Amino acid sequence: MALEELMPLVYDELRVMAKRYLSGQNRAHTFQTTELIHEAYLKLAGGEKKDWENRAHFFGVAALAMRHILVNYAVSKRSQKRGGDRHRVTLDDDSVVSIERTDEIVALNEALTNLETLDQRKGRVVELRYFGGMSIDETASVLKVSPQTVQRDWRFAKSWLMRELTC
Amino acid sequence: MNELARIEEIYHAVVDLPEEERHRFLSESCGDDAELRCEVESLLSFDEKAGSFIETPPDDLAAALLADRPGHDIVGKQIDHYRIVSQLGSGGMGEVFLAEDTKLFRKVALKLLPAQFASSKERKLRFEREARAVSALNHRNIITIYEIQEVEGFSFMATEFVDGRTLNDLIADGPIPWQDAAKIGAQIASALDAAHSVGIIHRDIKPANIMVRPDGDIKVLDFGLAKLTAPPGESGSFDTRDHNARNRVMGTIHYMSPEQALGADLDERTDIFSLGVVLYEVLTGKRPFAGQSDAAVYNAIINIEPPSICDLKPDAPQEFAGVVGLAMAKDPDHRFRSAAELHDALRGLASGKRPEIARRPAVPRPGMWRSLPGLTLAALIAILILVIASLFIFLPTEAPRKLRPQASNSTS
Ligand SMILES: Nc1ncnc2c1ncn2[C@@H]1O[C@H](COP(=O)(O)OP(=O)(O)OP(=O)(O)O)[C@@H](O)[C@H]1O
Ligand SMILES: [Mg+2]
Repeated sequence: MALEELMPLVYDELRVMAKRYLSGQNRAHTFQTTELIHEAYLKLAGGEKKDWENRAHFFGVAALAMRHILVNYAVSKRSQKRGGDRHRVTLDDDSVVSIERTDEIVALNEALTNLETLDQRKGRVVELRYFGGMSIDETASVLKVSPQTVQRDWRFAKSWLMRELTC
Repeated sequence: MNELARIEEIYHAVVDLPEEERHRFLSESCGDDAELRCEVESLLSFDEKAGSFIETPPDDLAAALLADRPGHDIVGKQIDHYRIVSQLGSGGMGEVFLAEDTKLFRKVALKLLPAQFASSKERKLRFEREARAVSALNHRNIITIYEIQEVEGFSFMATEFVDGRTLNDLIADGPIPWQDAAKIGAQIASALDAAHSVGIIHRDIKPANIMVRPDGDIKVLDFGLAKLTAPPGESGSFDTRDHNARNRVMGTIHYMSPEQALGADLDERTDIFSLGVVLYEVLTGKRPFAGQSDAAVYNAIINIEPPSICDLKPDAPQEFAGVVGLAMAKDPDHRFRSAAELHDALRGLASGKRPEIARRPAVPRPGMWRSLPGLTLAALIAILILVIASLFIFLPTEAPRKLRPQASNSTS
């Protein structure tokens, strides 16, 4: 299945699951993006047979969806300035989403885009690890490379991105 | 091999080497390519600093964002025997959907309940008990609850669907004639009276919780819900200290009573105050207690008399302004004694009768209550000082007595 078709499915599924997470009995333990993606996968793959049974493909799309959601939000939040509607439940400006936090995500996304033009796989490693919350091993299986390779990519990418963000 | 790949190769070769060897290796592999060496060294300098950098995924933000999206994502899906048709709205405590009951073929409103609902069994039971008790009254102005359920991890409440608009919407549309305001108010008061008679306080009377049907009938929503989301450990009052907490669950604070704003114990009369605030807004189009910040609003609720209704709405009878003023008295003891009394007064206004509130103390003098919170605080501080002082008085005489034997032992 093409990315454009899969994306909205994954997107929706993630939202439903997150909502369930926050409104359901699972509250006892903290929310983990990676867990959510696993659950969403099981649900979508388990139901009707789809040709993206390909787990790696799914996880890749899910991490990309998370990146979209977070970056879009951070960008809009940054431009919209402080002091929105106080009557809605807030993703509280002061705790969860500080301005610094949104700035951080926007800046990281830019640096990551630069890294991707130089080395696409490293970009994917960061996307899967950071936005998809995946472990080294999970990342390795999505990218079909060895965990050692992911480890190396990750370490180098971190230094590279950090320099990009501080200089 | 491209440039980045070369840089990376050297980087990995030396990154775990001790300083000296690092230098040797760099000289060897970079030769006189100063630019290459510089690039590698610059990146190496970030290896240690990068430590925890981006190691923690933004899970909390992701969760909040995903869940906060408007709920078109579950529209069209099936939860239990309900097919979600569309989203009706979303408030501080979750989202509300129009759904079709596929068993009984009727429309229902499905309210996804907040996470707090699931977090405490005791709360949940109390909420269910209250919500059902009120619903069981079969009062024409109280929404009927069909069921409260947990399915596939969702907690939700299915209620009667009200095909109408919230009072919030109506206010936003423009001025409402005072005669209509009286009718609306009388119905809300009647619903409150019924609930109070079985010992249930609403605690969150506000325009968004009041639905108006095209025929003018009123339905009060969300009985029992406010208590559900009050912070744990408190019997029901809102914790004013917790407003910035991440799990802030309240919507608006503008309709709170002074005792709510102060975090004090609540009784039925908190609903009377809130209804007063609602009526003030319905009549004038303005909220009586406004401010730039939450703190300013709290201050207004507790200390400031709102601008006179007669000035803002000259055509409303003075008696109506008096009724609203009495409902909004800062001191609960100066309000209507019950929702039934308020109901009578409003019904009287609606039918053109002059309400008999002349005998009761009129709108209390502002200065009287204004000093009260201060007084209570002063009294509390005085008591605290007394307690602390008494500790100081009693402790020294207690303590040495116990210590003495030991002290004499060690010196002998
Ligand atoms: N039974 C219902 N029938 C029709 N519409 C409803 C029903 N219940 C709720 N709604 C709509 O959904 C909106 C949101 O309701 P909800 O109770 O979630 O939010 P709120 O009242 O603004 O905040 P709070 O969560 O503090 O009660 C209402 O304002 C109303 O428009
Ligand atoms: Mg409501």
